[in-house]
Amino acid sequence: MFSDVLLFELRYHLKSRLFLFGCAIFFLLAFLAVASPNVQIGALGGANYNSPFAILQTHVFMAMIGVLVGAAFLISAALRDTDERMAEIIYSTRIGKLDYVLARFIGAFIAAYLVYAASSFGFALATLMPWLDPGLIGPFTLWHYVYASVFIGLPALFANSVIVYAFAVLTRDQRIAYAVIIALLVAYQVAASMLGQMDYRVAAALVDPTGSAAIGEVMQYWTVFERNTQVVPIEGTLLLNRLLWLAIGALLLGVTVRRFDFLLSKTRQRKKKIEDGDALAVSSRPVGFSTQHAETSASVAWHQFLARTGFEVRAILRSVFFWVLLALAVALSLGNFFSLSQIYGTPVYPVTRALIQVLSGSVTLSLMIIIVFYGADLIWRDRESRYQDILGASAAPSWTFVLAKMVAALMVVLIFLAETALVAVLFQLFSGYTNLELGLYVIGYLYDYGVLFYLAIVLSVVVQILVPNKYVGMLVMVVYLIGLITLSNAGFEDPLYLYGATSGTPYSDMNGYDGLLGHANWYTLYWLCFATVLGVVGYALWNRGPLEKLSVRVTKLGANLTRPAVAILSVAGLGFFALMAWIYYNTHVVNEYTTSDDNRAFAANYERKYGHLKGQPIPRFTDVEMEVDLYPESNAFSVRGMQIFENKTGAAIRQMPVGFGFQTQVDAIEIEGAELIASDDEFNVHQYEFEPPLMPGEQRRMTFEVSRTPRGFKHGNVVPSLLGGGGVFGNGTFVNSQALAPYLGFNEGAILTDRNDRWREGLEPVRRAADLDDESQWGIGFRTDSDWVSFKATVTTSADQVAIAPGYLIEESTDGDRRRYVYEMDAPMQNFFAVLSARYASRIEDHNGVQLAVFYHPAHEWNVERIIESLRDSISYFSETYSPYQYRQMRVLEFPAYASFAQSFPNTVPWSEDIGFIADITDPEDIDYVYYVGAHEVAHQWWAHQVSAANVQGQSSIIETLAQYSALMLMEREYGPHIMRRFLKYELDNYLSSRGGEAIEELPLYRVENQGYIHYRKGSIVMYALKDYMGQQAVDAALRNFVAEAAYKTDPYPRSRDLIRHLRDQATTDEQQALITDLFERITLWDLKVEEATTSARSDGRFDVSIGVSASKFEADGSGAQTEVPLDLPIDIGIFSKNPDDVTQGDEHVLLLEKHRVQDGNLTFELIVDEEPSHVGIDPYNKLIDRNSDDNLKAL
Amino acid sequence: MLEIQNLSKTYPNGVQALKDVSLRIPVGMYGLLGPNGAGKSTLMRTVATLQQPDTGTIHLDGLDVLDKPAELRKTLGYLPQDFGVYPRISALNMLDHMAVLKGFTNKKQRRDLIDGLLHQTNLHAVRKKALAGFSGGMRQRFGIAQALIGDPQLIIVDEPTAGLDPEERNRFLNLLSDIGENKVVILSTHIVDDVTNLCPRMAIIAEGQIVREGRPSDLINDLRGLVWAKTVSRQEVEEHSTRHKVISTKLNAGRSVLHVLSDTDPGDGFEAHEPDLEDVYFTTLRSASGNIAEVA
Repeated sequence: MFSDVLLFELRYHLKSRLFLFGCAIFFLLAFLAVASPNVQIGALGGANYNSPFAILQTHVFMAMIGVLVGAAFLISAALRDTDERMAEIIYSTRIGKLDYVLARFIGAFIAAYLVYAASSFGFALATLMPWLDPGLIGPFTLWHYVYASVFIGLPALFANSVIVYAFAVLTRDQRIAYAVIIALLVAYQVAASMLGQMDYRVAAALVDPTGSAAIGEVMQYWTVFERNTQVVPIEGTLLLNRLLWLAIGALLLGVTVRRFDFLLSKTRQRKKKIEDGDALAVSSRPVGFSTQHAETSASVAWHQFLARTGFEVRAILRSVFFWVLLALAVALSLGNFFSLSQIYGTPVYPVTRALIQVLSGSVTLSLMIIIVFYGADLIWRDRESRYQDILGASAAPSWTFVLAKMVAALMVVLIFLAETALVAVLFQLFSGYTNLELGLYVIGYLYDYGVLFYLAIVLSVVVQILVPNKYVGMLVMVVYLIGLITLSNAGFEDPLYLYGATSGTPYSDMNGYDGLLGHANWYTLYWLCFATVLGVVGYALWNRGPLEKLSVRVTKLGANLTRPAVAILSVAGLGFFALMAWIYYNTHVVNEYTTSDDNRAFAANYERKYGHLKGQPIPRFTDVEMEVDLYPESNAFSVRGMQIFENKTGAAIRQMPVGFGFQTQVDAIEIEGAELIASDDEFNVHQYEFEPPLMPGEQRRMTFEVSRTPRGFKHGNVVPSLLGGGGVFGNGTFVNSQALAPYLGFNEGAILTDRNDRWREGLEPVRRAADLDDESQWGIGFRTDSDWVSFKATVTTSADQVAIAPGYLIEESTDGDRRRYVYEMDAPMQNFFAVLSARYASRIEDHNGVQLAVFYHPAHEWNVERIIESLRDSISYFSETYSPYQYRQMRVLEFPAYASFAQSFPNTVPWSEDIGFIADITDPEDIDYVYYVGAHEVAHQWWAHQVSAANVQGQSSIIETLAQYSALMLMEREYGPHIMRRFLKYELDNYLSSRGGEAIEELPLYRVENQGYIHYRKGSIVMYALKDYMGQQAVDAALRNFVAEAAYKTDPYPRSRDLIRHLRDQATTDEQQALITDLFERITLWDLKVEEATTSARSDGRFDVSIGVSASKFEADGSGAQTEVPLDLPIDIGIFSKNPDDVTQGDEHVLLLEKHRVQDGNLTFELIVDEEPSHVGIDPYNKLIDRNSDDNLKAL
Repeated sequence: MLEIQNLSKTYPNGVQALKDVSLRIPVGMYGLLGPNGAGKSTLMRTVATLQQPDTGTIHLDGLDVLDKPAELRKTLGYLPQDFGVYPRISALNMLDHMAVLKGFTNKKQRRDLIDGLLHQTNLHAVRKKALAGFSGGMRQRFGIAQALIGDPQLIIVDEPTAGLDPEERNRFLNLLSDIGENKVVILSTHIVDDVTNLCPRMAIIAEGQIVREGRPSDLINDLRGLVWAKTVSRQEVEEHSTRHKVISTKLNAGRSVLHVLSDTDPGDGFEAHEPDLEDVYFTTLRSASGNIAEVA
């Protein structure tokens, strides 16, 4: 019997359309994830397409979707009999519980697993596709698929399937089963990430049945090499996780079998029977039915419409499912609120802008479900409740029914959004934050964010009117939502044909929407017209009474279109086409329509056309003078510039290509002694020929006029990249030399660097930097066309704004509604500048003759004082330690949150409102990254603006690593070593987890090729360790000598070898020399661990401590493959009376901390301390790079 | 007076549900009797404006129903054969909502109206209870209550007593009989007794056609002297039916009672039987399906 039931169940599902459909989807999704560059599951980094890592990632992801699709099989197995009213017949047969409940489960589960397994085939097939870069395809290994599918996918699918099945069987309500599983899938992730953040790593690894947290824990520091070659061994927490969830699944299945009984719906039985009235009362009652007649006035229909709307909305608000979805959204939002924009674990003030951003990410899933589910519910509810005939026979006109459903749909989305907004407001109040900006919630959240969902649910309702059953309609809506997400990634990104899509509306506290919401409104209006057409057509195709075939309804379309309906249809239709024309005119005619694919091709074409200019001798700028007019209200600028250039080569130069930013319009160029011979407007490159040729040492001048005047509105990036040229904004202009000024020769910054992008464009992979020993590049610094220049800028802006450029303010005047500032720099500076303008508040103070200033958005005053302190301390400390500060002024300027960075220009630091300005650093436990970022940026006034670096490998190890180190030392002086340890742990974690994402090759620090995880993260750790071993004095002395030798040096520019030379000069022992080699010139990792530790009281009141450690040292190659190398280094051995992780201040808990010589292998240290110890550790402060930093410390 | 002329309806799947149906239904209770699948509900839904016929016309007191369905709905009360209820909603709220849909926008007026209806249908005590918990009889009474809102001139009740126990059924029929006599009330049913008890006029519909129409008493009179009965063992039924025009076979205490149609005494132990409406019904059905020749 058991196997008969099982096979019957399995066959039932295998023959279902859902099975075929599911297999196709899973096959296709996995196929596309590999074969299509536009569908991505997880990040590959530099690993192979078919690396075990990629296979695993995809299988884990598919398991999560597999649970949702599989749920359909399991719910069908559980509820089919009751739903189809077969229960009485089946339950009364001789079938046993085990056969019924268990065999059906197994049958349905096998079907679900087979669907899931289709993804393995899709994946494997995709790796054979000829268009994939063959360099990134490893050999086919069957085991990797079996492993991922059976060990990782199967248990996850099993545990969750049992949960769905159990809820379906025991509650007999499929909605509850679905809601539970969706909530759980989200809850696993949230719980895992929260537990992870709170350092309950084992709990975090166990709580997620997909095992992704446990796997992530193991793989987090995997290098590319390891990702390509290893599978996660089933041991430790992963084994525990698998066993735990298999056990939970088995147990729950047992409970389900036990609790099940062959009775009809339990819920109905439990319901109290309603006592009927007196049976005789009716017959004894005299005849006297009400003969009241209904009103017939025109307002009746309006009342009926309102009643219908209220009725529909109440029905949804009364359903449990709605509240489950709301709870899901609220839980996600709250989880994200509590970790709001954390940097180094430090929170930010809950400004409304940030909360709306978090809300938008957290409620989307719930909203999508609402759209799919309630669109169907609204249309089918009357028929499913078999109440349609009564409604149909009522006197209310048809439009009241259809319009009420649409309005109710909109109301549900609105109510959902309003309720989640309320949660955000309560969170603000709860956090003691009172600047609620309720208007922003309405505009930015209920309206701007909500638009897509209002439009989508109208579509959902109309689709449900058209389709023959609701599942088809729900499928159509799912396809629509997926299409919306994927199509724009696949190059089909014009909102003109993506229903509901609008142009971007980034918001900044400083700059508001800056007109961008107005542009988006055109799209909104456009789709609103379309939705209205949809609505009217939906109305005309809706029929009262029993559902008729669509073909029949279509024939009555004309009859149903009453005169008002036709009027609405015409107006909306006309509006739709008029707006289409208007938007097309703006985005395709006035502005060029470029997709991200177009941009990629553009960059590739630039390289093909002008690549030959690379390395061609060009003059260098020596003097830069600009007149910049900013027009904030129209986002426009115009520039008149004069720049002097000089032939610094040894030979005459005959030709000079002059280029400007691609978005900058060139109005005029005049070059002394040169003729324009070719002009290329597409790439904005203009070729000049010198007559007579420019002789070595000769200077000439060029003048130019350029401008940028945005017209209409455009598709794509509505805000120009601030790290590119930047742009002029209503309040918070940040525009830099790339947009304002010319470059000579080839623009290296414009080419594609991503290996895959280049491969798609048929370009060879490009080196990220010239070899450290490539002498031809030693004479080039940041720019091939400039060394140090003199600088003067006149900036005009609106009268109510302050405009700032590098240099000192020497003149300021107001003329009508324009204000004019003249800035001049009196020292040579990098040819690298930005102009900012905004309605700033400012704080200015003098510090030993240096003016410190912060220009900020008046609402963001929180940390201004702290920034000033950071500037003051930094300038004092760096001046004393390295060399005098070269300027008389240091300014910080806030800019809009279109990007999150701070950037150091000469005596000028633009700083995003998104980092630091809204940081909440009131808790002394938190890392004060405001102070830190300030110190880092000021340090660049030394490392970049005094000491430049040659355009070869290792350039950023001078610029960025030394800025990191300088800031670290200031932090340590301010906050003590304890904070440093926590800070460095973030850096270590970031470094180790970023290695696996390396696209080309990890390089040792001295050859770093602008790889952030190396020059920032590893740089911090390396420099701190070096300081620990050599002493701060020695390191500082080395840096002082380095500055003395390298400041303003040009030909050759300083290189990392010079830095290392100075460090080696200060290294007094062979050990230190060897350490410098390990830290800078190799990729070195240590594995240090306390194996065992014991303590016992001595007769003299002191304590014996015995610490057994194991130690080893590894060297890694560029792909991350490790080889063990001999270890012989003194390493910290620490004994503590408290867990050092719990101590925030002081060092009373440190009983002993001294370096002991450690060789590889196992060692035991016998030590004596005065107090009773609780923890011991080897390298307890994680100064050395160790992939398992947690086992350095052990509790006694 | 409801006049139905030449109504035909064929569903997209090819089933011809109504074939040239014409009926004149006067004021008062009118029984529409027919077996399952005869086209009763299609006819009811068509009259209730929920479906469109392929051909034919329907007029109520001169109002062209098919041309102006909205006008008819203003004066229509409809209790469908099979209706459900929404979850989580009480009888009172649902009736109130229906009253709005039938055009009562004044809250006070609506309250009085519904209060009356609730008393009338004896649901007042349970008015605040969820409809989903109602028994079959209570649900049907709720159904008639909503149908009666607004004093409709045309009331259609489609198989209202199916599935009710005898007491509930009785109660429901009493309720129907109270409905004013100056309106057209169509009671569609497959239970002969419902018509016997309530309807001064009736029609029998089979396979989409009206096969008999008239006063029940007239129809019964037509059969007088033609129906003969005999009680036989069950094994004998087969043999008897080859020799006689059997119109019905009913079990009584384990033995079969045969009714046969014959102009003359068929002998063979048959005795004369006073015809009733059931005999009319079965005779009509048999003749409609061609099993026996048309009689009378």
